[in-house]
Amino acid sequence: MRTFGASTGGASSGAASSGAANTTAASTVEVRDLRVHAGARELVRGVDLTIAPGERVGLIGGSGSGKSLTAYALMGLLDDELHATGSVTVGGVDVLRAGERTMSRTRGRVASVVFQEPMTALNPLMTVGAQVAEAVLWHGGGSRAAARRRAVELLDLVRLPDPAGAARSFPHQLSGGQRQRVVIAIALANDPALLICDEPTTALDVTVQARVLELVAELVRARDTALLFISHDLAVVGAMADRVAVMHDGRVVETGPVREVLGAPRHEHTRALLAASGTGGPRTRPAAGVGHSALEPAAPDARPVFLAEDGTTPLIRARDLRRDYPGRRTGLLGRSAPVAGLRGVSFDIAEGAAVGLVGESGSGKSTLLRLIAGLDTATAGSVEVAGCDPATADRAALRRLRGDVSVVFQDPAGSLDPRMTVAQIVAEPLHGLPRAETADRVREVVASVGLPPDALERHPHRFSGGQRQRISIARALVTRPRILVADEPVSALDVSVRGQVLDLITDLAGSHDLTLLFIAHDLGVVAQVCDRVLVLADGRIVEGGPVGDVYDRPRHPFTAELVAATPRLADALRQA
Amino acid sequence: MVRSGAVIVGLVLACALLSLLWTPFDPLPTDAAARLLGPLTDGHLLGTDPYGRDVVSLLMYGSRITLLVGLAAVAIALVVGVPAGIGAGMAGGWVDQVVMRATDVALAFPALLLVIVFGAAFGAGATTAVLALGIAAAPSFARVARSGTLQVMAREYVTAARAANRGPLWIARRHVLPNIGGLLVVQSSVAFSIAVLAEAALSYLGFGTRPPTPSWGRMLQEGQSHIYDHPLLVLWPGCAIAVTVLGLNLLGDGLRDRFDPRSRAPEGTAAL
Repeated sequence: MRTFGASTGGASSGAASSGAANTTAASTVEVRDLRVHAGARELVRGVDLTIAPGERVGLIGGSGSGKSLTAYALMGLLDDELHATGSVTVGGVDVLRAGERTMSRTRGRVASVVFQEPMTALNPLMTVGAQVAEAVLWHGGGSRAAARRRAVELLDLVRLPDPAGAARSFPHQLSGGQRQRVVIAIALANDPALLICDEPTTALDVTVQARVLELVAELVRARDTALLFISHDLAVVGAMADRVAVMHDGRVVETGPVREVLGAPRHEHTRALLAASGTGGPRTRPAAGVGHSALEPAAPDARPVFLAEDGTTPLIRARDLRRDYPGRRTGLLGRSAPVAGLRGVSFDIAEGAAVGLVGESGSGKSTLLRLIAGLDTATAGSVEVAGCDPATADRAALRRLRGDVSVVFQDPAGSLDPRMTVAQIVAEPLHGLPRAETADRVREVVASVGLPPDALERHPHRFSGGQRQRISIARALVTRPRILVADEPVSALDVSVRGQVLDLITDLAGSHDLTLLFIAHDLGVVAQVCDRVLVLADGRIVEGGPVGDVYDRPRHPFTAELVAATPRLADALRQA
Repeated sequence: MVRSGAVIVGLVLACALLSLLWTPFDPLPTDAAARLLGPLTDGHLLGTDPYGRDVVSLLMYGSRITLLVGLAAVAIALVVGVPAGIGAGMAGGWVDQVVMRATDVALAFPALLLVIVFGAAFGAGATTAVLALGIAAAPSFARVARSGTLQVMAREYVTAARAANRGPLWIARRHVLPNIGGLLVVQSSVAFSIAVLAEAALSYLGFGTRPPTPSWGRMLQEGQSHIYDHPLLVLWPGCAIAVTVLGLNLLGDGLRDRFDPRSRAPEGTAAL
């Protein structure tokens, strides 16, 4: 366990109610006793919040704590069926009493938002430049040509390479990080006094996240813009904010300088959030069947990475595995050159190991998963899982293999059929068993993942994200597999339930003697669950070995960058 | 919505069933003495048509033909179109290309012309009309089914089913069909409306229901020549068609929502 910074001075300043810092009339944001109702239910229960000009405030809390509702209330963007009372003043505008006409003139100039998902925040049919220019024109007036020029300047400001070219491209032609930069450019087009960021980097890779956060911090500082930064990631908030407010169940339960609140939390809920957020430090898992790894020295390309003990037969054995995807259609018959998903990957994994597979999106992690689970066939090379190569196996062998390998997918909402009941979903992998035995197996496994027995007859939409992932895990374990492949199983989950799901996976892997293959882009999560790690970059394995070694002494520059880019709370607090 | 739709459709169905046993007057024999009577004369609630037949009895008898033609045409379209669409969407590649190009050709071919060709080849009548209308509607069902299938196939639960070693038939039956059911219900209610209207048009052209069998379409056609002196004669069958189609559409939308487990949200779910 890593400790959080120094506990400075203990709990002294700042009452747990209001922002305390600058309560002058010139505050950018003044929220007094904000309450939001949905019918009879109170979702936000009396929030007070003050943000001074140029101040950076972090808002943290689990999902359903009311942090996004509070931010939407600041923008006057609450849904019609929600009713807000209290007083909200942003840049001198009384938001709750101003009509939509006033607000639409105010938004963008006084306050703007950067949303979580940059793809859906942009119009796919408009060039990026036109969308930035639209934001400029909306308030500024002036000529179209001037707005276009300003758009290019703004794209340059958010450091898009070749801003003039970027202005002519469509959102899908840019990467996720570049799209988020465009959204930031739009948000800053009219020099707002307040910038609200609602989990702006959650959908991005770690290294991209670091660069985007740096950009936001810099722009905000240079322009003296007030910042309200919403995130569930305490380390990110710690790096971005001067002051934090912790929300729980519609209330602000704790607020104060970052260092005090996150360094020496006073409210139990803040402590729970800190405990749940994981600390990024490696955690040793009781070794199950894995001795010391005879790791080859840094072998970026061809040489296999052995994660198995010498002499034992590996459970998964990949040799020079390649997978190319057909290129894009060019014209009627032509195709561009094939795109490589994996460019020759070799490794051994011993039975009972818990291996993390780390890399950015597009590095080939998911391709590798599909090959191992027999969902896809390699272009070249071979993979042998439990003595069977899915590419050459006959029907019976493939069926055995698919019983041996189970997959837990990333998005618990998308991987469960909304039309099926939990019992039907969990029973799906069971073939040809008598009805009674199927029911017994399903009931048993559903109980073992900690779901109530009455869950069986319900549909997935009645469950929370964490519970849905438990259903997914139950489906994966019902065949009593030997290998569990988890594709970013917690990245779509709320931070407060991540820990529980990770613990569940670790426990079940131990009790079922599972070999665990755990895909993640978050190094901290891998460290919590795995004892070995493989780092993938651009379709190749660049590094592999015990988690502690790889994280503490990365040998490949890419690994070093990945480790450095991972936000750590302790570092954030040290700098605060 | 389901309730009002079900009530309307139920009433039409009740009329059709009742006409098997009882109608106010015998709808078939003509009576030159009683032609073109106004409403509420001589016990004729809505009057009589140019041949002296009771309009209420004709409407009741006609509902049988109309429902039969619509339902049978939709059933044929479903049976032909949906498997083709799901197959094309799941198989992809050249199968998809062949099926989709075939539907392109079929859609480019005017449906009425197809019916006329069928009529000329196999003899005009309700059965040929139903067959032809069903076949003409099948391509749009294939299209809708295919696009829904593509969406479902991209979902992770299908990948999960494949990882669980479930074959294409299982995936089609357990995952694709239930999840595109809503689309198909809506498409069915649209196709039914089109079939009812097409039956009217065909009867008008002489390729649909043969005289003297009354149908709503034939009533429209026969009333047409008297539209200036007796406008009510086209109003009644017109209203009957409009109300039936409305009822079916309401029922279709309602059923789609009712069969979606997601729309039965627990009480007091936050709306955000």
